[in-house]
Amino acid sequence: MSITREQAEHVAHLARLTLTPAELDRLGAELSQILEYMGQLAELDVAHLDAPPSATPLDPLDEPPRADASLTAASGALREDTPQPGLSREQALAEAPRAVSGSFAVPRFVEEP
Amino acid sequence: MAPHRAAPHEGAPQGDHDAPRDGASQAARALRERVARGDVSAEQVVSEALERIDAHAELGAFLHVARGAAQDQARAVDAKRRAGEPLGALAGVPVAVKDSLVTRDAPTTAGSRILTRTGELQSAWRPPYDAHVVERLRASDAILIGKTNLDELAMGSSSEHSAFFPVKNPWDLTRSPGGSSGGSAASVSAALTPLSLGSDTGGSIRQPAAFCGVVGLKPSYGRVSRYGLVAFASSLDVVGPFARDVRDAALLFDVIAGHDPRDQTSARAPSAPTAEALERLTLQDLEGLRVGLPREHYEAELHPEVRAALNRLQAALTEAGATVVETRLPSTRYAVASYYVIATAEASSNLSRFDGVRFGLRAEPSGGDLHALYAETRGRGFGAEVKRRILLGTYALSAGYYDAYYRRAQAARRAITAELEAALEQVDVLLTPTAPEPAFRLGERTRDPLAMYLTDLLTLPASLAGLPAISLPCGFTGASQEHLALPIGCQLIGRRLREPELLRAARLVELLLDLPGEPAPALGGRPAQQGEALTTQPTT
Repeated sequence: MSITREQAEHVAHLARLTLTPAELDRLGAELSQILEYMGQLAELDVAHLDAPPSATPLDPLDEPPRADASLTAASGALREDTPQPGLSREQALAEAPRAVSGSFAVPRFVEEP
Repeated sequence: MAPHRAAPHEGAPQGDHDAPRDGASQAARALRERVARGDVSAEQVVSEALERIDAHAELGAFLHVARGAAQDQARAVDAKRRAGEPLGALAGVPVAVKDSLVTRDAPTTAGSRILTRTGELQSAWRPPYDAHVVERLRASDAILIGKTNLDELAMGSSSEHSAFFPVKNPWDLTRSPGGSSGGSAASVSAALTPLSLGSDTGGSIRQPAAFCGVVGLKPSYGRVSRYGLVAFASSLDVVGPFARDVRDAALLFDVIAGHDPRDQTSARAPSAPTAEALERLTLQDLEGLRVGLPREHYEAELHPEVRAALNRLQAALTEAGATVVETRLPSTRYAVASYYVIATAEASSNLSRFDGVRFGLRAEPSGGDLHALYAETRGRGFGAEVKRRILLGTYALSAGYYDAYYRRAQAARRAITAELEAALEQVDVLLTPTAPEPAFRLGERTRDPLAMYLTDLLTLPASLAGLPAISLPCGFTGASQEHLALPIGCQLIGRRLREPELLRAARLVELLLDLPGEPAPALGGRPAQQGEALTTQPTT
């Protein structure tokens, strides 16, 4: 698998990464080498996988379900949706590189009509 | 003479001029008892630990040392003791924390310039909250003495990818301590602290533990909360302890393990205490322990002295009455490919939070738009290894390549998990080397990223399967003209959420090997000299 300069630029754009021309050349070449190694995954039979598996299934990690149903029921992965105190606005903005009138400051990104 | 030059397996006593004192030489459990009895004040323990950290600054183990805060915590512990209040499980014990764990109002960079205001370490981010494990440490009266150095954002196997400076191996300053938790491993290895915390995504606790001659435990996925761990690959990241012996590792594990509702993948089953049961074990308990040797792990290209150390251990286990059998894990041949697709894919998503808006670095080209703000900030803030992984992960998830890479990597992960779980129905633990070789030289691997990735092959399967695994010292290489004596680590892999069983097996192996377990020489602050390695005879 070889990565062209255009592909490297496209992936860097998707990843929101500004790269120098030298970085693009070097990283592109390294990526090609790494992907060639990854190519061994092509040997795998994935026909039996009918749906893309989730990286973190919601509740695979506890003890396997037991006869004791109450224990299983207690292990729902989602907690109650109840309001709890979070960070104050002051705390949230304390480390912002730029804050303006109580908000994070970003460049204008909506065009005037 | 230079008594600390003695090869550790010669059983030589440690030289006295550089011998660590209370804050460091003692096992954490003994230190805690002495503090609790009032034999030594926590303040004294902390002073000595700080002295030792300063004396070994050349290791590069720490990014931030919390001098004032640590002394304040120590005085609070001493006051509690004088008032007769109950003391926590780690009262007065200095603990170093990997800098990818957030600490409230205290510097946190995860080894990256992107978590600094100006790109300099001195302008580190100060988070508004503590990681779950940090809260647990505070509640146990431990002393948070500082934040340890690491590969940037925990991505690497050598601690050379720190944006600030590399970590050096206390056994040989020309070598890597492993990574990514290299600073935490070095801190315990050189007895700067009795304990430390690291994180392990594909081996980042176990491999540095092996390289530095200490014990490192990667708990089961979900056993320790990830809340407040700067995310690398969320389906793989686990926080775990470093210690100089198995019982101390268990002590720290017991403090940090357990359910936390703030981490959705946190296991709800209670964490059974592990440390106390280890005190009663004797070598007779090895009788009947079933140990599996995954053939594929031994068919890998292993350094001859690593292979020899494992062979000796296998023979000793059989001799002591354990049952040692070969097992097969054929799909682990895909472990490196599977891991580096999944981990980088998750990283490419997780790292989108570093955007120059809410915290850390911001590079704003004049007249630029929002895209330019993001791209410039990230281009300046991330180092080469992080960029490489973001690009790889973005590529693997991008249109047209998802099926070829990500989906197949998940299939391999399933197959590896199924094989490991089947093997662990036949045996109690799997025994492998932790790393194919002892610590490699600084600079030896950085030019070839794929070669660096391939050194992780022995630790990746347990990560992909979410199983607990521990590395402990199982011998040393002989010293030669080429190199100083270097530690060799072995890995035990156990059943999911069965840390008590895994730690029991590890303690039994530790009893069987009976290595001296003294701190690494750290060479008294001097760089290693060629020829010094020849001095291997014990001296007084």
